[in-house]
Amino acid sequence: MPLALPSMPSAPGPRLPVSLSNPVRAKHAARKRYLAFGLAATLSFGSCSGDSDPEPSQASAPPALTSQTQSAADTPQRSTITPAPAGVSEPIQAQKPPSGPIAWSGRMDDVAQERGLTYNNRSGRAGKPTVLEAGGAGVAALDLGNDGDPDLVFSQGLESLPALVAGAGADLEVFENLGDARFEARPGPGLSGWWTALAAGDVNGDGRSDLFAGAFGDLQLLLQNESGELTPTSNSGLMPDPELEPYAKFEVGAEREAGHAPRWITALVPFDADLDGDLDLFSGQYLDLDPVDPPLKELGQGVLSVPCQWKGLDVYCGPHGMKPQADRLFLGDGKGAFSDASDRLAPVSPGFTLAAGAFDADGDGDSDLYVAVDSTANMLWINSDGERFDEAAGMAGVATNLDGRAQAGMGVATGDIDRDGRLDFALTNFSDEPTELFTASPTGFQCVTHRMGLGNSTRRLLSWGVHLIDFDGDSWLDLFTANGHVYPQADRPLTGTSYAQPDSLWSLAQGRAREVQLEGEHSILKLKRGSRGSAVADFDGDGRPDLVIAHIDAPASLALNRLGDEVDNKRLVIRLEGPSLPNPDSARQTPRDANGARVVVVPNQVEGNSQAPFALLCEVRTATGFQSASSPSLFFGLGQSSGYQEIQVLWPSGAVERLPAGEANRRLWIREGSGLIKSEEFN
Amino acid sequence: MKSRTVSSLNFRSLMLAACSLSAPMQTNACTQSEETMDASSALALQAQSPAPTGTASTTQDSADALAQPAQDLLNRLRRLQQLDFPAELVALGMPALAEGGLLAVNGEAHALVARALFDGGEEEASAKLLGAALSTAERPWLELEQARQLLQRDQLQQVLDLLLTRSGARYPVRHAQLPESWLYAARALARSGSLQNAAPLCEEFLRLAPLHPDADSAWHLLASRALELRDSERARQCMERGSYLSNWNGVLRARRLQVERTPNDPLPRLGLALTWMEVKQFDRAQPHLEQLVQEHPDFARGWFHLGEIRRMAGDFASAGKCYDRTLIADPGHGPSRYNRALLHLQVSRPEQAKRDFEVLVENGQANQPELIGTYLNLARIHLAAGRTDAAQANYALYRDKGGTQPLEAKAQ
Repeated sequence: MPLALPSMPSAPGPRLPVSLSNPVRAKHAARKRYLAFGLAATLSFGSCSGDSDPEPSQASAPPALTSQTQSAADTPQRSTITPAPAGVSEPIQAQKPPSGPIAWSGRMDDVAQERGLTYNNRSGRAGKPTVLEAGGAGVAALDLGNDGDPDLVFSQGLESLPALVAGAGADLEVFENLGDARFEARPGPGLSGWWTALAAGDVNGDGRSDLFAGAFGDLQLLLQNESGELTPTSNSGLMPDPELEPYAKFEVGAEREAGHAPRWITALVPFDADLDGDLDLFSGQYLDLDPVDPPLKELGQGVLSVPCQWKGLDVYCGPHGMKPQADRLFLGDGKGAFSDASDRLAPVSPGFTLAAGAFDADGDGDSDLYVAVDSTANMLWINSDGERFDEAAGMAGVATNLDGRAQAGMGVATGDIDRDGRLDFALTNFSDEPTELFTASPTGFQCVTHRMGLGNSTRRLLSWGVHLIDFDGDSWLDLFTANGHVYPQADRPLTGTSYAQPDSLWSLAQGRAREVQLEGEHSILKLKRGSRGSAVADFDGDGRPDLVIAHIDAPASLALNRLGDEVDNKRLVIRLEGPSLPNPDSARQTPRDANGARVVVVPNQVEGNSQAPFALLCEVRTATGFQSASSPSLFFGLGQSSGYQEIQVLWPSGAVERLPAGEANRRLWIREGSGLIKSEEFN
Repeated sequence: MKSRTVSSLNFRSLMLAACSLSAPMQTNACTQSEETMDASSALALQAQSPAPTGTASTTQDSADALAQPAQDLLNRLRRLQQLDFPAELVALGMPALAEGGLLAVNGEAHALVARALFDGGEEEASAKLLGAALSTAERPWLELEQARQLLQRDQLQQVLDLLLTRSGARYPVRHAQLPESWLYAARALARSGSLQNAAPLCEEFLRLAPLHPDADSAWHLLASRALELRDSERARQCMERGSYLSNWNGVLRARRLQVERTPNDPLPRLGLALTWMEVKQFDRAQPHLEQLVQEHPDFARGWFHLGEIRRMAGDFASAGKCYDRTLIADPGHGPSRYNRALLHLQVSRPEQAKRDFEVLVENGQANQPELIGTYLNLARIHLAAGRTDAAQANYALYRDKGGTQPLEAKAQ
């Protein structure tokens, strides 16, 4: 039954100048939004790992924003002592040791070959003499043909960087899902280059998902036609006029002089920056690499040159010592044309961007951006109505790790880890740098990596693709990371790591990161390879989030999720759609693919379970992990709950939609203004 | 896609960045910006305040009692750790730790090798080294490395148990003489969520070792605490200080790497010396410059900077000789001539100073922004000698070029 659209319960979030107070005000704005939802009055957004929230849960009580004492006392390790410089004056109890690994009886085996997924990555020479050749590929899960099954597109490279210079580039590789997760290769769109990042979204509002493809020297928009084919557009405006920047695009097969670096696209995030209902694009770029004369073994000239080494071993050069490229923002017109609006990003020193993700970090209803940067500080772009983005990572506590060290950010995934109604995020990093978990806090974000025990588990891994998804359906998010080192030299003694690495899965239930162990010799958690991009989608229609993983110089993996059955965990899959026509009464509009919409699901109380009621929060985003696009479907694990009490949707237009109670193990389609338009059981 | 190589950085920009933030901070890395450096103080082409104390001095001290071969080996192990050459460190260090080896009873050497083994994934071998039966005096090194490894393992309570000891109602830091004790305890507290307790430990760490390779980390924790207290200005200052030190340490490592690769070439060693001079660690810079001019007696820049260090130490005679050697090697070296002239003034030899200043005018170097004080000093010399017209003419030139100092001030 269609639901009536209530008016926006409160004005859009405050315009936040970038200052210390931003994250504070932002989070309170977020809380106000939840209060407006009416959730906080009935739910205790649970805390975990001793993390306490100083904000009151009663809608009528003003939040304690200004008291420094309050802030200090509400750090997770609650203490009343006044420390003296000479030492600590009260006993300190650090967190309890994290629990050990946890064995799950379900399976996530690699079934790519038997399912017809024959993609095989090429990413340069085995010795990886240049940084480009260590990048591997991304993968996009998107529905081609609107048959309801997610299909797959992979980016692709070549056998070497010189091969690209010599000509004959690679095309994207397309695989159609025939249903039940059986795949068949289809002709590619006919591109030529060395392809890197992929991103998916409905760019022209026709109800079909389109594709952005980034490359070393190119950025293409491919619109999906009625036949489900991806067709490159000729005038998307995503590459500069060749008269103005003749070397920005790498023209495969054309003669090219040394000394010029093309644009190197490494991260693509479709999102609605200005809330006009048209998808815009953040394009992250890496560094200047001269394809004709790349640096080898050392950077600089003569005696002041610096060898390209890692742990005393000769490796490829970069990113340190090379020139980073500035990221870009493009505004879309809703028809497939884009204009460069990078001047809306406040001036900052560029970094070596490798990944990015959009989410509403400050709770004001628009989309902000977190950018994972290699070897220099990460960035958090706070959106002010799409007119301006201010960089606030330092003040929000997410520019570096807790030690203040810039890490090699590789991938980003968002999710509500601690079920407190605020989005948190995971950041994958280099070896000797753990995968970090940042949870939203009253003063921005706090690093909970070590408290949750994830530092020890991940410090020897180099991780790329990352997902915060409830794979087993127990109602707590799990963390998946796709792992593999960049240096083949990692297999030498005393590096503390290895070139090939198995992928990893952690349960994040109850504030602890517990490494998941799965049976089966073909488990993706046992096979050692060099993973890069990864995507989540329900390929076989059983309601469980599956995984596809691109491995460098190797065949891809397809892991069909068979977790959670042994305990009969319930699930819910929700697919949102924006309205077919713009809402004339709203200044803000929802994109057709609902990018940026927020959903809160309140599961039923389980009979005989004393656990406090809780809510699950998700945002519709497709760009997650590394260079990849996941399905826009939202996956909720309900544990033992037979269904949900309520579903609330906050559309980017500002409209709020509520669905009454319903049963679990269903796939729901919700359209703005029309409510629930379809509901069906899983396969 | 990171590699650990670091290219040379622009020190000037680093220094200016530091100057803009150092005033309210503990570690005073600079006393004035180039913008405020006027002609009369142009002598201060290098920093002038005394070097901060406590920079990793503890680690140096521990080797004092060693015989020279053992100390040389320990220094080599330290260097390999700084350069992140774990395999070479283990290969060199392990035999020395065996019974009868040069460093068999040295705690720091055990800790260095254990660290390389642990970081290299050889955790059992590392633990075995840390379990060595060493004297009480050497145990702190082992416990410190144990604490570092526990931090890596997220065993935060164990870190605190190891580094803090109960004394009445208080929990002072054990091994307080080792700066890292303070930092590791602070990290364990911060990772447990207690920035409030971590902050004072960071301050003590920075007091003991303001230029420690992990100093940026301590500043970051202080910034995080300031954020928790909503003190954005303090947080910004701490972040900037940490960022400066992070960059500086990156440059230091790159310079060391260059010296390691080409130890006999003057430029890398000069760069290393200048890196220390940037943060006023003149005692760390001086041996490099002395070695440089010994190996390359015609290397003018080496002599100049050695002269600077000696001048700032108050050894004007020796400084003057260094400037002489600079000008023999490179008669066109303006800063040397200028500083030598100022030294002449300092010891009341105005005519000799005047000759140097006049050379700078003749060859046009006096028009360089950092040397326009030439005209002011000439003006003052003429004024003192009663040559008013010449004084006014030179002073007018000085003002034309942007100088702001009064003519009447006492010449230096």
